[in-house]
Amino acid sequence: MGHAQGPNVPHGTLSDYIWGLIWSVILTAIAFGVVITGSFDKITTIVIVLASAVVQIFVQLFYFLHMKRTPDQSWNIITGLFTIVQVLILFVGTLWVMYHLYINMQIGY
Amino acid sequence: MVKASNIKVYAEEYHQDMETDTVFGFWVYLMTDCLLFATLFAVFAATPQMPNEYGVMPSEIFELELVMVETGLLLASSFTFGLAMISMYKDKLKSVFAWLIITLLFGLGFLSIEIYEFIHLSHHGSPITLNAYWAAFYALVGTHGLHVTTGSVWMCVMFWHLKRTGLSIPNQTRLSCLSLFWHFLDLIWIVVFTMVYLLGVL
Repeated sequence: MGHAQGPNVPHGTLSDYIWGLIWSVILTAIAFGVVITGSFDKITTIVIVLASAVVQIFVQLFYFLHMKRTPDQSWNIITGLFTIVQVLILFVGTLWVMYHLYINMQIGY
Repeated sequence: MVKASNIKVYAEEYHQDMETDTVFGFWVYLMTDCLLFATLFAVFAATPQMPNEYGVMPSEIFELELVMVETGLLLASSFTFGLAMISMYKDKLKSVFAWLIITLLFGLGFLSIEIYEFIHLSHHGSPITLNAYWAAFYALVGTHGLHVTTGSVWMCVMFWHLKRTGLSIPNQTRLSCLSLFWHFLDLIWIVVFTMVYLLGVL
């Protein structure tokens, strides 16, 4: 118990970081690969790129930031979920408003 | 009956709670930083691509090879910071130093490429003052770059702290906060390279 006095935050193990790195490299390679080779049509490419970004975010939250469902982590997860809701309102709300402005007022750029 | 040793244990637990709260407070700061980035992402996403001074669209300008190297450097730095944290828990000051220096070098490599990209774009018909698209681009990518710069400066300050007091409790707390910050920057970068560059060239 040499470090009982340090902050009580979850520790990552070496295998956590290695798995996080491996998955991140694979997902990044997929995202760049489909765009550079252009082997799929546009919609499929967009879906693959977005999906690999979302999966990579969760991979890094899990392996690098240690967001696991342990009791010590509950406050981090609650504030994190609250932030996701706020980010979605902000981002989707902005795009929604701007789209309708564009459609209804015929303002080109 | 309360023994003196028990009081010491309570005091240590109280102190540990304070250190834990500091890290949680820093996490809450990072969540507010998410909102800052969400605003910049929303502005960027709401702005359609516009041609630069030569009439070239951004989709034809971005160099994905550079972005790929940047992504690799930042990911590698996130990994090496993790190794620094493992060394910290094992109480190995020297390897904490070594991994942090490697992390800093990766971070500086990322920044150099980004600065090169900005200067190159500005001098080749796409300055920040040109139109809404380029203003939104520099604001978003630049804010991420500023965060990486701040993290790099913080790492230099951390070297000074570690040199003075080693792996003391306050320094462990500082390192825990810095590691959250650094991993968080890599998370934001995933969204940046996806939204700005990958979806930008399609």
